Amino acid sequence: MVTDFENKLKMRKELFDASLRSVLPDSAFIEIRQARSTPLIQRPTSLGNHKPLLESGTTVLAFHFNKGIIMAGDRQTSSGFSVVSSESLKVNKIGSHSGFMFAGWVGDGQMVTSVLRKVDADFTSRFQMSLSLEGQANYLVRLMRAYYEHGSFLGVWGIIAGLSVIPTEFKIYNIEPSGSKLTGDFMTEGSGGPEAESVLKRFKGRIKDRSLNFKEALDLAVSAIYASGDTDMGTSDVRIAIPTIAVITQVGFNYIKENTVKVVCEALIKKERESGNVR
Amino acid sequence: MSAKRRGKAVIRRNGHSSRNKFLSDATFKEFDAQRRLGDSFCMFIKIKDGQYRFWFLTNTMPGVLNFKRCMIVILGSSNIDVGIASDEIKSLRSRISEIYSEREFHPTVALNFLSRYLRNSVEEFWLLRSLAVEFMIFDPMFEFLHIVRMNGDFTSCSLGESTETAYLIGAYNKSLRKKLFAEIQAHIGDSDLDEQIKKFGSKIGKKHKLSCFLLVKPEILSTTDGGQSSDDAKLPKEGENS
Repeated sequence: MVTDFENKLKMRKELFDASLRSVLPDSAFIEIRQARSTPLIQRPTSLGNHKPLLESGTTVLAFHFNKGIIMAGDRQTSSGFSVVSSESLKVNKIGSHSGFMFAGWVGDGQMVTSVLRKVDADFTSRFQMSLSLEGQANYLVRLMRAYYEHGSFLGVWGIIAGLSVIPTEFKIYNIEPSGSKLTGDFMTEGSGGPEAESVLKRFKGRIKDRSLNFKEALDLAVSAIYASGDTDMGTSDVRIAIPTIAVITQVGFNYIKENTVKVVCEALIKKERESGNVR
Repeated sequence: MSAKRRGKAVIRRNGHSSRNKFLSDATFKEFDAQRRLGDSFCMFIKIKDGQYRFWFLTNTMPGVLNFKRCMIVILGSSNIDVGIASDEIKSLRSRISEIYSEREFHPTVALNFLSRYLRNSVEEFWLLRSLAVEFMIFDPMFEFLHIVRMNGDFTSCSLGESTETAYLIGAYNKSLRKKLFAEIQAHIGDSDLDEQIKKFGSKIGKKHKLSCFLLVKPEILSTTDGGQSSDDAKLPKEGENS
């Protein structure tokens, strides 16, 4: 038997929920219906002895330098053994001081990117204050988790990075389809991730100390993408496609001009040629 | 609310169309909340740049909630009302932390929610009484002040740019309000403002039977301590309960 007191508690809870729903934008609420209506696709994790499909096809990385964070990604999108595009933009701006990159299924990644942008835009328009980096990362984790718990999952291995507030500091998060959230001084994802990570590890101390200047950080980012492209067939060679590079500083999120990156790439190739590593 | 308007609300409540009944119910609830708040008040006094005072004269202890990005002062007619309001604010913070992060719980979010919550509690037909509470919401640096009234109405101002010296919640008694503002205006530049307020507060407290007197300096919320938010009242008590 439901008592009068329990009824009042229930109604007070409804009053709270109704007020909350009227305050927050609709995009804040992840509808479970959405996740359930997604058909349960048996996503193949590997094809025999080949690399897992889900992780193939890209290299994206992010690390700290003295003024903020640098984010870099190659330009290739592949499907199996075919190169579908060499012009893909993998480094995406989300808010004024945050960016998102992903490896995995292109459709899922693009959907997640647009959802994150919408969530940030809705929050900003409602409260005249942009969503914090933690807010974006937590929302992304909830989204991944909602799909994961309903038997399907988003094939997205993401890196979200930006300027956090209170305390004010730059942060990099790695988000996986199961909803895990990890933070670190540098992160890499994709089939070329291990090669890029081995390049970044040589500068682990300087990345941790935030002592790399912009030129050094740019050189390092290009070297890491070059190393991945040299080994991984899913990552484009820097000689074929100039990688996309962006920086997040106190000023905001800015793409580095392609000509600037091209100069760095050419200098690197020249050096490799002089060393005899490249013909 | 005038006596004439009060009378009409009572008459309308007793019958006639459901629309009129709804409006009269809402009006009656507002009147009831004002009556319950009575002469209790909380005044935020801006002495000069960076110097402030909180002056409470109530029958129940006010609530103060400190978070990373905002501070909320709750004036209520009873401990239960202050408790319910405090619980709802903590629930809101918990939900915002769950949906986004604790950093998203800032004054604008709190203002929007509390305003709609109080408005809904006035308009909900199953609620016989709305909450008789009012709020002052501050950012950590005391640059902005938002006041939410018991019926959901709110006002916002920039403390740095505003020329007003005192902001008031409660005190639904016109003559009391006039006296309070006049007293503050008269002594705002005095070096012994605190003593003047204590003297005046003691007189008013006896006249209006308000037993709880507090005059405190607000502590600036720390936002660089690595994120340890506290729900305990941080206001150091300089006044005394009389």
